[in-house]
Amino acid sequence: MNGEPLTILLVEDNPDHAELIMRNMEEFQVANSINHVKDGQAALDYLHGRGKYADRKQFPMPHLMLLDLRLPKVDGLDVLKEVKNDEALRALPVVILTTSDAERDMAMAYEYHANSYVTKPVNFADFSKLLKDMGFYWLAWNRRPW
Amino acid sequence: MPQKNIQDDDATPLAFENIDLSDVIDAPALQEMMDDYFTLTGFAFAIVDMKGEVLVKGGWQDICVKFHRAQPESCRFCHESDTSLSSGVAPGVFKTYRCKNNMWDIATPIMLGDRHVGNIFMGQLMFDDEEPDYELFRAQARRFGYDETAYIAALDRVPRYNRELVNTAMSFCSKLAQVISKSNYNNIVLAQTLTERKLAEDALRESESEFRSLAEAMPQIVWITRSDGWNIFFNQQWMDYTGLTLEESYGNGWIKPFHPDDQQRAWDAWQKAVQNNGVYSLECRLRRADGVYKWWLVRGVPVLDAKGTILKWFGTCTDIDELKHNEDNLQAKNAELERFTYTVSHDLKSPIITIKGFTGSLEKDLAKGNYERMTKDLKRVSDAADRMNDLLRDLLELSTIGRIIKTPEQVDMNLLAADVLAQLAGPLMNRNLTVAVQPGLPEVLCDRRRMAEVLQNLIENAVNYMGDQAEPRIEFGMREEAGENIFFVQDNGIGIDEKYHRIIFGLFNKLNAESGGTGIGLALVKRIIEVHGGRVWVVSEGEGLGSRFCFTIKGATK
Repeated sequence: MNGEPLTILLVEDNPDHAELIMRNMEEFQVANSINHVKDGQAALDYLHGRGKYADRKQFPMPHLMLLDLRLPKVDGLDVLKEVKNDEALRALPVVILTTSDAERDMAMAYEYHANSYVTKPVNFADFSKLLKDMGFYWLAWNRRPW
Repeated sequence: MPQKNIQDDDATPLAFENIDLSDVIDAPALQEMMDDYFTLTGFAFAIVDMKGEVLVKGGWQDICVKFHRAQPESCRFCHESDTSLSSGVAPGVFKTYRCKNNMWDIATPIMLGDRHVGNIFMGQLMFDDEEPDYELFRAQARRFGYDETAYIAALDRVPRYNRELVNTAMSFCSKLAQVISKSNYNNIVLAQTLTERKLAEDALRESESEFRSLAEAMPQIVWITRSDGWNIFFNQQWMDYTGLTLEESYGNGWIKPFHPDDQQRAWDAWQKAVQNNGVYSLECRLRRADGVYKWWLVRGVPVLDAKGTILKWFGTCTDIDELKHNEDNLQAKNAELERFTYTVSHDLKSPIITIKGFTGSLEKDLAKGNYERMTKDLKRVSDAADRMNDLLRDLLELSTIGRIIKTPEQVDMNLLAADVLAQLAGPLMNRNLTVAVQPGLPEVLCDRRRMAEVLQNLIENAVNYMGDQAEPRIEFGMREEAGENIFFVQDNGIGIDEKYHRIIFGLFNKLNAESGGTGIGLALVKRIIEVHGGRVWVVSEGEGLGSRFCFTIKGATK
């Protein structure tokens, strides 16, 4: 909207799912770049600009985070909790994109102030439409002050 | 002339319905006394109970004995007169009436408590101020078939008395009746009181001995304390369990076996129960004589007086140690089961999304004639199907552990290692890996197939997490530490950060999403080792510094 390149941070441990998500996102051109990390620790390092993610030019602050729940090292819910407890990060829209439709996960996610909770549709056409709609909603329709 | 009724006395009225007059008067003694009375006064008399039974009598006239009571029909009149005409007379009062055979009778009741049990009669007599109605008596003689002349002669022999004298005599009898009533009543009350007291004492002694037998028969510890918690009773079970003597336990001694961490809770629960006069209930650990702490349910009930003040506490301690452990185990099992179903549904759904996603993508690419990534996508679909297959196989394997454990046999660990390495020859060769096995390993008493799975999983794990190591090396061996045989699988792969050393043994926990495996391997190893009574853990200096997985087995021998 303000000409700044739009970035999505995708936190997804399953490489196949990551590939499907990125393939669809690229096709619909909802974002200028998608950065993919494979576990919760890497997601936190990225957001804090730590270690190998220190270069903000290469790893800019995202405008949307797609966060899976069951993640190696640091679990998705813990990542969410830390982001929403951090004053500098809590404005970042976090969409939980997960295989889990367990009620407990959903309840916990909202408890920790997730902005949205979406389960991955099994049907490919639905999966594509979801990613398209979600990308446009959060990056085009949704307004943000920064 | 009514006198004070004995019912007004302080003595508690008792139920006297089973006592007859004959039970309470000393008939021979009264007979002697009344004989003297007759000698003095010449008045005929009788003491008769409510059934008409004559208990004491004297001075009876021929007209009664030889005529009225000798003929059945007129005798019936006598009985009816004795019972019905004399009824309804207030205690301390006497009634003068003509009997059904037309003689004068005077009656006064004998009471026992508030019950009318008999009468004192005076008569039969004639008054000196009236002439007998000879016609009436002649008619009576004819009716009942008496010898008329003899009957009238008998009538004439009946003494004629002055009314005033009769009243005085009767007043005497009435008072006598009162004395008999009252003293008998008091005697009975006293006797009953004594009997009841004795019964109560017997009952108390019996119930006390029954309480002790019951307290000793119970599997629980039984205790009694004063209202302030000062102990006054413990059964043998307490001594047996704690090893304390009675002297050590009485008073405040009972606090000694409470686990230090539970003493505050025990005190708080106690205070709360005392404040609310409520039931004291607490799960806590008590020290056994050998120093081992076990879980007990301590429960106390207050005994209150009429005002609601606590007099004593009666309590028990019930052994709930096994229950507690089962509960903990059940909770752990439930948590594991929940996690299990959750993960299974997640991990099985994940490959389905992959398969559906890439077949969808493939269809699109096919339609567009875009063939370049099709081979790769087909492999993703195929791999996802393989993962589902692996997951199902491992789950099945996992579900049998803990249920099926074959009879343990002596297993030569070197031979076992050789078998496992032969099975893994393919993957090892692919990575150009060799595994060094320490010679002369001990024999181990175990389920051979399960132990092979342990070794296979640990070696596969080492292979999978070898990383880019230029000189990959895996070693299987054993060393002795503190008298314990510790087996290990050592690698020089990517290593594991210390903070993950515990969670890697959790079901479905994977540190690296892209590594092969289902996240079940190490959980399986842990379960097999634990079923064998051993422990498993990992030692690693950190990432990049290799890992050493160690395990012990109970049955490891040289």
